[in-house]
Amino acid sequence: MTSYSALAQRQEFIVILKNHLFYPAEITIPSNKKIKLIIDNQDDSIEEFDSFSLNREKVLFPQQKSIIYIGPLPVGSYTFFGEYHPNSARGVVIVTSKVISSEEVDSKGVISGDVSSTTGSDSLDGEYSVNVN
Amino acid sequence: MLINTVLIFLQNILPIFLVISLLLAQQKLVYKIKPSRSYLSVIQLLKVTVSGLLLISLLNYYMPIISPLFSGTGLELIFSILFSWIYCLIVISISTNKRPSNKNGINLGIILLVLCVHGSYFSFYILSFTIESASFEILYSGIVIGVIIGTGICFSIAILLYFILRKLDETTKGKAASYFLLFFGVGQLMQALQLLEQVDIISSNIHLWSTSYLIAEDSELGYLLTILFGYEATPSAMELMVYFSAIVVPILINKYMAYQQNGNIDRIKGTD
Repeated sequence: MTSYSALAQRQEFIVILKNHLFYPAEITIPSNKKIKLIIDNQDDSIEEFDSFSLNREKVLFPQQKSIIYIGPLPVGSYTFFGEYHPNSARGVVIVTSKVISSEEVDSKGVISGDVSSTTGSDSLDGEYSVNVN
Repeated sequence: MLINTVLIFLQNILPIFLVISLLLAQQKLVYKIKPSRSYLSVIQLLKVTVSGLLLISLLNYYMPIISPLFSGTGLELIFSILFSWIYCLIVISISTNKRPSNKNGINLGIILLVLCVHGSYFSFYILSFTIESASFEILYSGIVIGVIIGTGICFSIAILLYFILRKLDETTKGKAASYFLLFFGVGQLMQALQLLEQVDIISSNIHLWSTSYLIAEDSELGYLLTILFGYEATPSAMELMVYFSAIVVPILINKYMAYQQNGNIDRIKGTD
């Protein structure tokens, strides 16, 4: 079982679902560590976050944030997709052994950066970005 | 969209067809022992289906409210409890092989739970298109045709499984259907465990191995094995431990109960 203090220390990553696209479509997380992934569904329809390689399946209700925990995982890439719109809602979790510096993590533990490199037609505010490459 | 509908239908609705097939195959043995006892009838199955559909509607309505509860773990908690109940009822159903009077109610309970849990996931898919106000053509070509094809595949697999189990039961004295049912239950329990791991209630460990290159979980065979045996391509130590315990413990308890019953019969015969 996990203690509440351990839960509080999990590094947080945010992914936004908008117009059936994940922003960012690629997130980089540290290897052999459990992280907290917050998925913010900004669409007006239900979606299901699904990943066979991550062993995760979560119903994303419209205009709601959902939380799942990922890892600890070995180095590699793990794809995820929106089960109801698998052609557009696609993304990948890159697990790297690279140490993520403290500058890349803000006070809330959220990794921030530039979203310009992410795929999709609409760009979003940088606050929600998690691309740390 | 059509292919996606068929895939989602198979993923979510096939377990309902398979559990009915397994229960009917298992009950065939009980029916042979005591033919006077009532068998799972079509009327009973229809009643359970209607009740299940009503419960799915209720779940659909309340799930968006339940989901953010308990720090966003509400849905996982509810579903893991329901998955665990399916496993428990299956274990009880297998243990009451020689008491058909209790069996029908338990079996109907299993079908109702499987219908609610798996049916609700598929209903979300349907609901997502009604929210998007998709046109009639899209709904017809994507959903209706997909459901018809999916139902046909599910029926075919369920009927095939039923007759395979009937054939196997002739050589294994009715044990094959019970073992298959137990494996199905263990698969449901594994889904409960994965949901708890997903929200960090149970700590997940590093995967021990990966058999994805042999049988991928998102392949057709992977779907079937996941439903029938709780196949997991990348199991963790915890999952492996729970998997084997969930199979071995009920078997040992059943063997012990059978041994005690035989002992009592021998004692009664001895006193006569």
